[in-house]
Formats: sequence, structure tokens, C-alpha cells
Amino acid sequence: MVGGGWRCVGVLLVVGLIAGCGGPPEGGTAAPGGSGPGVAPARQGVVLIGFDASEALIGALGQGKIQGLVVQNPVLMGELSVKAMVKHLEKQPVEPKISTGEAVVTPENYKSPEIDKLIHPVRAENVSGASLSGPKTKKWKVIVIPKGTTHEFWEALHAGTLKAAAELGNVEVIWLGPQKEDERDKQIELVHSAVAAGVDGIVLAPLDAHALVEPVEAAVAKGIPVVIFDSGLDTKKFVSFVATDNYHGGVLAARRLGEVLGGKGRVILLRYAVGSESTEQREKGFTETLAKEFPGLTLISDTEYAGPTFDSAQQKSQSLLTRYRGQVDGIFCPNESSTFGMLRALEGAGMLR
Amino acid sequence: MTNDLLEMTGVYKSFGATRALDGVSMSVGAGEVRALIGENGAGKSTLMKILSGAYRPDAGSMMLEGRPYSPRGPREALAQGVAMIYQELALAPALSVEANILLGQERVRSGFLRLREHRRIAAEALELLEHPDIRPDAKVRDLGVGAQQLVEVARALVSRARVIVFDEPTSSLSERDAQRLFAIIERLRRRGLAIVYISHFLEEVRRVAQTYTVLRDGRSVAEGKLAETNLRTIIGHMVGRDPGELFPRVPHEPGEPVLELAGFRAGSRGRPANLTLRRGEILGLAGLVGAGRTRLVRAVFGLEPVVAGRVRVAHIEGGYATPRARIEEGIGFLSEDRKGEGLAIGLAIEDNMTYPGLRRHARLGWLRLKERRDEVVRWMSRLRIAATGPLQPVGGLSGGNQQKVALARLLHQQADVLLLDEPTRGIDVGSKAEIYRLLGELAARGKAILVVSSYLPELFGICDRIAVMTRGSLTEALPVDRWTEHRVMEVATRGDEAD
Amino acid sequence: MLPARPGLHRRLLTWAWTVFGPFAGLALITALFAWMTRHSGQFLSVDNWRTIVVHTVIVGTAALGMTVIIIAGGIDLSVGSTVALVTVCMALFMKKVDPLLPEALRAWKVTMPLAIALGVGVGGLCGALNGALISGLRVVPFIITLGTYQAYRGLATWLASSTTVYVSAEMRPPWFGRIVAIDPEPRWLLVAPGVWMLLGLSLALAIFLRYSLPGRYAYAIGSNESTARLCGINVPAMKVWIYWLGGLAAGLAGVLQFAFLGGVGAPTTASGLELRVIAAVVIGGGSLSGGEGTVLGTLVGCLIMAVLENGCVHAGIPNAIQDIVIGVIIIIAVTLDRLRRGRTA
Repeated sequence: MVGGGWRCVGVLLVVGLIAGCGGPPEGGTAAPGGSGPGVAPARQGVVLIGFDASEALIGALGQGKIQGLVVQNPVLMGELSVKAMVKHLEKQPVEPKISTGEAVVTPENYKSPEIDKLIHPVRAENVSGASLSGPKTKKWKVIVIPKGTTHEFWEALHAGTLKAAAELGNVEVIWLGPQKEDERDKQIELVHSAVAAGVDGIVLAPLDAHALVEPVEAAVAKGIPVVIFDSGLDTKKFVSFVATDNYHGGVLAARRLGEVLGGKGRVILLRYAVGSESTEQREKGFTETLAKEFPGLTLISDTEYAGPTFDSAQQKSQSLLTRYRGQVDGIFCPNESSTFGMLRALEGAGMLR
Repeated sequence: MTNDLLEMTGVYKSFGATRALDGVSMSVGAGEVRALIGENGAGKSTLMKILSGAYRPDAGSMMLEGRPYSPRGPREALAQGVAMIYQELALAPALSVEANILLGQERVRSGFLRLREHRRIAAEALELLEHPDIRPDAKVRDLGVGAQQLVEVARALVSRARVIVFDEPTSSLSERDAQRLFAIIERLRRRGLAIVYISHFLEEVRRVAQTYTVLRDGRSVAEGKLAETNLRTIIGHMVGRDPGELFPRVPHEPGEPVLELAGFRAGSRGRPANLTLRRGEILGLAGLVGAGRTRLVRAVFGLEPVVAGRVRVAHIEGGYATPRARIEEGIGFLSEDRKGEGLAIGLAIEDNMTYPGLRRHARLGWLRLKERRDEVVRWMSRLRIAATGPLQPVGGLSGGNQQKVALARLLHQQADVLLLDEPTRGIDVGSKAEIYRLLGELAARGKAILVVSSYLPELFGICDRIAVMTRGSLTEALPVDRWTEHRVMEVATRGDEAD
Repeated sequence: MLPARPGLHRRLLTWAWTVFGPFAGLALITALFAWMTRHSGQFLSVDNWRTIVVHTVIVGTAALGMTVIIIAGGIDLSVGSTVALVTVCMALFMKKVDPLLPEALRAWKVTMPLAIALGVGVGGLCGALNGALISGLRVVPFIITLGTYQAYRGLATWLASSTTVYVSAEMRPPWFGRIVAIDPEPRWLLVAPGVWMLLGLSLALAIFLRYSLPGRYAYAIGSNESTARLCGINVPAMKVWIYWLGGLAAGLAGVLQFAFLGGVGAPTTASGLELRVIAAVVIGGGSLSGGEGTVLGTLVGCLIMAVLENGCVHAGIPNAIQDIVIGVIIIIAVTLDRLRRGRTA
């Protein structure tokens, strides 16, 4: 008797909540180009263009499963970031924007020596030599905060920072980052802790172009300089921005895809994650180049996000592929984890050449 | 005795400074049912745990079939032929009857259970108990409590136990199930098993056992043949003094009606009930467990739906009302399930005692804790509740003291009508007498009291009128001198119709 | 039987252990990290403790609500999702709804206060819905909030169209960011205003739990629901009310998270927050079977978690080891607490 009344209230609340929310905001979904019997079947295998190199991805490239990888130079990025910081600490002028270059690796060129250097960078094991509160052994103590610590990209970058430290000799590098690449609050807390521990400089790859602004500005206000790398930050208070020209990376990916497909076909863009400046630049470069230079390529899906981990990327890819099986010719993924997830999904679905 | 199967001599056991057993000697022979009698706290459960191997005795000897017996755990005790049937059944409710019967004694061949063998053994054991009606593949939770107990007995039989110890086996059984159990115990006895029967229902003990041992303060104070003694003597041994009056009577005078039920139905069975409860009287509701008495009083209090009929409390008439509303009308309810429902075991005495009447101590929603504590302390001393203080969690109190806290709650909420469901279940004789005296005093002060009880001597000892419930139908409430225990049982078990 | 009365000194000892016991763990962990980082001494610096207490605020605020829910024998797994939903709702409100408001209203600078009220309100609504479903459908809280954990997160993602919603800096008054800033402004506050707010709310909640009818009723429901019903407590209504309270706390935590992230409405934020909140309550002596838990214990639990995380960073312990250490500490803390209770009970 009593329970019955409450049941009604419960049901009413659910209905009310659903009704009160209104419709979802308009998405930019491009409608899939028809799936009726009139559509010509896709040709054998899907062309996959990825971003960043890991051993698994290079292996797949060698087997012809991946038609192109846009690679950055993480070692150089790590090295230049630390060097820029030390230069600033020693009162020398530093460029406000430092580019570290990007290139396309294809099954044809991946054995050439200069590409090999890019795709097999030195790597550092994820062990921490120095700690925030350890004794100060060098002149400068600098903390490097990546977006995450699990991708190979960051390990190569870590190696670059250690290389810079070895060459300079007067700087101690502390390597600390959040585990997953969407832990904004963790990264903010790390900046706080670094400030509290009194480091000489912070080298940061911001997870979010906006959320990290205030902690960075607070650090600068306390006299701790900040170098930004890999991904942009919505402030002007940092010393220098060391990064790949991500937009250009996206352009290179679009051109490679157009080249392999011969300028005709249907394409999926699997985005990475919301709020990540570097991958958004790549995605932008990719879509704008498609629209400008390849009228024969149609984008049939660009609204899905791979998420921060391999497994989230793989799950999302599998769903996408079951949806667009037989209708897709080429795919671009803007970072290592999304490329890997898509590769695994394509393999599982038997959709590779 | 020479043919003793199990013999204990001078068993001692202490926990820290407390002497739980202070020299207990007891023996039981093949084909004998020995009753182990004692108040709560006399040492019965410690003795039981020593028999089952859960505790080791500090001193004394135990012999089983002439050989030293010192089990290191229940498993070993069972292997040597001593089985326990506990008050709280030790069954896996989600498993089948046969799985429960063979739990821990599974027959295995090369790693696989021999399920057909299991079925056969279980069926045999149930046959032996003359209950082939219990299906071996039924889930234990679907069985009644009585049948569940049979499963436990069957388990003991399968293990080829020579000695079976029953701990308060009837405390949760209906009269009919209890009768069935007594018949089975008799059968086991004839088969030459030795049985120890722990209970403080003295009438029941007389029905099943031939010999008795009385425990008091950890000592075995008396033993003998039940046929050669009477109840008063045994009670005398249990309480260690002249029991005086077990049912102290305080004179009280019935007044005007305060609670009336007209055409009242709480369940689908039986005829609608009509009942009038007066100020200053104690009215007893007798009947078998499951007759619908508990459901009736719970529905009056608002804990169960009212199917039909009117309730009139102090001239205000209505149908169903919530417990909150009933409390405000001056009705108090004492649950038969003290631990599951009656009390919040983890909370302090002062909380448990004051929840229904908490608003009295609140000003604009804020409590005056001092005022509340003073009142709780007053009730504790009036009801002689033995505790370290009002902050002690009720879980640490003895059963009798817990029940006093539950009763004090009704007094604290200033109830005029007390609905008491099995108010003396599972508490010792001393506490029972105190509660009877308290009820008499309350009636003398004009409270109306309704007592549901399955213990007939208690109803006859304290009530002014008794009504009997049978399969959902309630008889007229007649003055107690118009009933005999025999007549009550006759009406209660008749079942089909009651005039 | 009357249990022997313990001697006076023994009672004093147990009393001290009951009151200060929870702090013992905190002191132990602090001492451990201070020793591990003894070379720099930065771990014990005022600045670092300002950082630690700020990192306690969000978990702590949500944990206050969770304390009441756990005392009442419930659980709320949807806290993290509620926080994410609140940040998204606030960001959308400031970005999309606010420009539609009349100019006169905006001149009064009501945008942020309105957004805060909205955030807390949305949290309260989420909590009330949890409570209504639990009472109305009579399904255990674990299942209901497991469902709403997914649903609220999905709602947040849907409302935000799967992206992060940013609010421009001009729309955020400076005082808003300062709520959880490490360096308080004005200086005489010593710690961030959010910390004072948490302390104030904690005090209010502690008084409420001890001296109010609903506070006592929460303990009754958690300790034995049947008894509560028997004592005339309206259990379904109380549950809705308790989860509503928990939702308000989660909403406030969402507002703080919004400030902490610098005006970012992120549907992925605060994932796993619910487990940290529950861990904090449990470390602080709350029992998942209900009827037990204190505000002081919860606060200490939150502090222990924050000190652990901060200390591991200072001591240079890698992420993976941090997680192991925190997991082990949770188990040890709860086990010790049970032993402590076993002795005093």
C-alpha cells in the first residue's frame, strides 16, 4: 500500500527527467551515403592511415596492413622541451614556438635510414630516477608531466628528456604523469604538487587546453616557468610551445589516403578524445584537406571518439566497422591508441587487404 | 552406569576470569534421551561447544564408547559419531535436500560426485525418519522449518552418529512439527542412539526425555529420572532457590474498551475477527504457530495490510493506519523476532528504547539528549535492566535484558495498548517472572495488554481472558477459568471450524 | 549478567582510542612520507599541506553525503557520474542559456550564482531520483545506483554532444576560481575557502546527525530497517530524503570540480570518484552494512587518501606502485578499525 505510492513517484520522476531534458544538440553527423542495394560494393580491404609509431604499428605497416603512419619525433620533442626550459632558466632567449617535424611512413619507405631513426626511437623504461622531494643533486630540478605514461610515444619522449639531461649535465629531470589520458584532475594535482615541492621549472603536455590554464598561471605567478609541449594551452604565460605541427600532420595523412585510394572512396575519421588540442588539430588538418583537395573522397563518419585507452578504441572501432562493413574504403585515426584499436578491429573483422 | 555411550566427568572451562563450566558431569547411554536443563547462561551452550569440539575443556575427561573423546572440531566430532542439531539451523538454503544431507560427506569416485548414490542415501535416510514425502531434489529454502530440521537429523543419520545432541530444537517449530520431531527422537532412541536434548521448555522435556541433568552456574546440580520428580523441584534446581510464584499476580481491574476489532481480516483465511480489549486487562491469544495470530496483531499495528474490517482505538474508528499513526494513537507493538525486527542490535540501549517516542525529546527537530538520557536511565532502573549504561549496544545484553529494553520502548512511547507477540520467547525463567510481574503492574495502572503466546502455562498464569486462533479464525475471548489447557489445544488443533 | 565495569584508566584509554584512533593512521602515514622525503622537507611544508587540503575538498564534500547514505545502510555508486553531469550542466547553462537571459538580470552578475544553484539542484535531483527508485521499486541501492551511474554519465555525454564544454574566462568571476585555489585570497584565510566550507558543512552535518530527528532515524534505518519501520519511521520517505541529501553533496562536489577544472564541463571527469569517496568513508570507520560511520572519521579518511596520493608523488613512487600502496592501505585501515571496534564493543 505504502510501496505502491512510492512506485508511482519513482516512475513519474523517470518520465519527468527524460521529458525535461529536451533533444540532443545538433551533431555534425554526415549521413552515411546510403546502404541500399544500389551502392557499389567496397573494394577488397580497407585502407588504414594512422598516427604515431609503435612497434606493433610498424610491424603492421611492414605486413601491408597499414598504408601509412604519420610520425612525430618524440625524442626530439622531449629533448628540445627540456633544453628550452634550461635555456630559459639560464636567462637566455627562447623561441615562443618550436616545431619538431613530422613525416609519413609508408610500406615503401619504412626501411630507409632517416625514417628508421624516427620509428625506432630510443626508449626509457617507465621508472622514476629522481623524486620531487629527493635531495637536489643538480643545479636545476625540472618536472616533466606528460599526458599519460602508458603509450610508447611518451616513453620515447621520456628518453628525449633524459638525453637532454645527459647532454646538459646541470639538470635533473623528474618524470611524472597521470596514467590515463583523460585524468584532468590528476594532472592539475600533479602541477599543484610540483609547485608545492618547489621545482625550478615545469614541462607540461596539457591534457586539456583550458582546464590546465589556471594551475599553470598560478605556477608562473609563483615564479616557476612552464614549457608546454605536444599539445597547446589556452594562455600566453608559458615560455615556449614545443610540438609537432599537428595540423600539418593531418594534412599529410589526408594526402596519403587520397594517394592510396586514387582520389575516390568513402572515408571514416575515428576521432581520439574531446578536449585534446593536438589530436583535434590533426583531425582538423585531415578533414579540411579532404574537403579542399579530394572532392572524390566522402567522409561518412566523423563523430565517433576512440577514448583514452586501447580497449575503448577497439570497442568503438568494432561497433563502427559492423555499422559500415562493406561501405568504407579508408580510415584515419589521429593517434597511437586509436590506430591500434582500429587495426585490431579490422583484423578481427577480416577487413584488411 | 556401565552401558554409557558418552560420559563426561568434572569438565571445567573458563574464559578469562569467568568460569563458564565449573565441574560438569553427565552421561548418556544407548537408547536413552537425556534432557539438559538450565537457565540461559547456566553453561548449556558452552557444554555443547565442548562436545562438538569448538572449545577444548580446561580439565575433566570425556569418554565415548569407553575410549577417550577429545575432538578438535565439529568435523572430527561427527567422524567419531557425535552430531549436533543446532537451534539456528546450519543448512545451505539454496542447495537441494540431498546436497544438504551429504554436505561434507560426499561420495566421490575419481573426482566426480556419485549423484545417483547421493539420491539413494538421502532417500534412505528420509525413509528411516518415516518422511519419504520430503523430495531429495527440493530446495531446502522451500521447505518449512520442521522439514528443514528433519534434513539436519537425516544428515546426522548418514554420518552414522551414535550420539545426537539437540539444542532447543522446538524453539522455532509449530506444535505439529514439534510432535513429529518427538516421534522421530523416540524412533532414534529405539534404534539405540544416545540423545542429549537441551531445552528449557519443561513440559516438552517431560514428553521426550527419560532422564535429566540440571545445570546451574556452570555446575551440574541435579540429575535423575523425570518420572520420579515434578516440575517444581526441577525449577527449584534451575533457579537455585524456591521458585516462589513463577506467575506473580498483581491485582488489576478491567475498565472500558480501548481497542475494538470488527469484521477484521488480515489474511485470506478464516472468518473475520471480532475482539474487544479493555483497559486494565490482559488478554491472551493462543493457537498454533502459523494460525495467523502474529499477522493479526501486525495488521492492527500497521505492519501488514488490512484486508477488511474496522479498527477502533479509543473511540476513533478506521481501517488501515501506518505504524506512525498507531503509535500516535497510543498503541505499542513488541515483535516476536527480537533480533531481526524488534531491536537494532548494533545501536545503544538509549536509541533502541526511544525511537518511537523520539519526538517527545525534540524541540523544532533538535533533540535534547540530556533529557532523553535521564529518562532512559530511569526506565533502566525501574525495569532492572542489567547493562554497563545507556550507551551499551543491545547486542551485548542477555535475551531477558534485550526483551526488557523492547518493553521499555513501549513504556517510553507512553503506549496505552500493548500488543505483545511472544514476549518471553527465548529468555530465562528469572527474567520471565520479572516480565510477568511487570505486565501485571501495567494492567493495574490501566494499560490494555494483548499477549500472543505459544506457551500455554504462561497464558493461563497471567491472562484475564483467552481467545484461541485457528487457521485464521478467532474464537470468542472467554475468561481464563472457562478454559483448560486441554480445551485450548483441542480448539487450536481442530482447524476446520471453531464456534 | 552484568559485565564487569572496566577501571577508570582503562575507560579513559578506550575513549581516547575511539576519538583519536582515526588520526593515528593519518599521523602514521604522514610520518612515513616525511621520513621518505626527509632530504627536501618539502612534504611537510605549509604550501604542500595547502595543496593536500585542497585536494581533499572535492572528495570530502561528496563523502559527507555518502557518509549519511552509508550510515543509513545504502550506497551510491553514481556520485562520479553526478559530478560529471553537474559540470556539464553548469557549463551548458553559462554558455547556452545565460545569453538568453534578460540583460537586466545579467547586469547583476547573477550568472555564476545561478549556475552554482543549478549545479547543486541537478545533484539533488539525481540523488532524489536514486532514492525514489530505491524506495519505489524496492531494489537494492547497489543495483539502482549502478544503473544511474551509467545513465547519468550517458546523460552528461549526450547533453555535451560527446565533447567538452568550455566556458570563457570572462564569464567566470575571479572569486569562483579562488574557491579551490591553493593560495587563498585574502591571505588571512590560511587555506582555500573551499576547505573552510568543507569544515563548516562537516560541523553542521555532525551536529545534524547527533541532534536531529532525521539524523537519528538514519542510524536506525541503517542498523535495522525492520526496527525502524516498527518504530513508526517512514522508511521510504526517509530514504528519498537521505539520497537527496547525498545528491546535494555530490552536486556541490560537482560545482567544486567545475571550479577546479577552471570552467570545463567534461562528461568524462570524475570517473572512479565514487570508489574514492566510498573508500574514504570506509577508512573513516563507516560500515557498508549500515548503522555506523562518523563525519570526523570520513574527513580523516579523505585526508588519508589525499596524503597518500600526494606523498607518493613526492617520494617518486611510480603510478602503478601508488595504486598498489593505496589499495593495501585501504585494506589495512579497515582491518585495524574493525579490531579497534572489536576491543571497545
